[in-house]
Amino acid sequence: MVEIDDKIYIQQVLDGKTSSFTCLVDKYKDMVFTVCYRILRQREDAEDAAQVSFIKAFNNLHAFKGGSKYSTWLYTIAYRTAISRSQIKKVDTVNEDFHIDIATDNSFPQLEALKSQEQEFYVKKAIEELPEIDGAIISLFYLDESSIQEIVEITGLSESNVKVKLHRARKQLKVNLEGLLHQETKSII
Amino acid sequence: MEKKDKDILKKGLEETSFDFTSKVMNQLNAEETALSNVLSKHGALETSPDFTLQLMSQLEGKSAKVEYTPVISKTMWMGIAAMVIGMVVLIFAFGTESNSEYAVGENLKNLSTSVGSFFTQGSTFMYILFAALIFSIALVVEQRVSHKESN
Repeated sequence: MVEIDDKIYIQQVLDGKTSSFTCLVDKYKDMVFTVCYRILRQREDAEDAAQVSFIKAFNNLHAFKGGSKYSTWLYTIAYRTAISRSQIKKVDTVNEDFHIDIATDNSFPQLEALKSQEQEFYVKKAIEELPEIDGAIISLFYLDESSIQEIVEITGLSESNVKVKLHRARKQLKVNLEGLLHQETKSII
Repeated sequence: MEKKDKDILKKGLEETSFDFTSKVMNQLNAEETALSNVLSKHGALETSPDFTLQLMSQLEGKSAKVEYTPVISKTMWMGIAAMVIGMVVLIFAFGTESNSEYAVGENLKNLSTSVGSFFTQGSTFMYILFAALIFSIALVVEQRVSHKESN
């Protein structure tokens, strides 16, 4: 059903009804932004990369043949846009004494005692502590529920590489979020 | 002796409860579900509220509508026509055994015969010329198609 909606909007855009693109933007903007943010780690850069990704998608919409899901095609554009920007950024800042200070305190307190907002802060911090690509893969896998095969298509990495990165990221998240996960696990069991 | 050792070792092993495996698997599944729940609850990021507005303002006046243009433009067709006419003139000039005694009208009458005979009795020069014409047309068409695809 979701895919049928996308196809309808895509056809409308290709027929010249540009306003239909709004529906596609609204539907995927948060995930596109999340993928860009996981790579770039800065809100302004990520939002800019997300905008560029949507413009690229719009300009090349006629090239989308529907062989994969529209979301997979779109996230591929977003991922590659963000990666190329991060490489430019790395070259620009290679000699600068620059680092992103996520939080001054690196410890993860017992998360079960925290309020929802604080939990959110520590979950985001835990994801940001992962390497950039691992963070993007984790987001695609858990937030978008993309399959391994789709992640392979988006990132261009091999299947075994994606599985290793996913396993490693999952393990690190489980360690960092132990308290919160323990509480959640108890509620599930 | 060997059997006796095995029996002793067997007695040393403790047996798990019958639902041990399912308990372990439930625990593992619950951990995975917990991670999934926590990440989907707190891991999502949101764009700024005016993201869509900003984006659509950039796309204002643009259209993703595909406007098909012919692979061979009018100028190209005119070029091809000129080449074909040139070929015919060449055939007219060299392909027939013309001499001054023949009038122009006679030559025109023989033109259709000459075009036919071009494929059967044409000289090597004519064949090369014809192959060059076909090759140049194919080259132009391929270049135009690949240029369009790259855009």
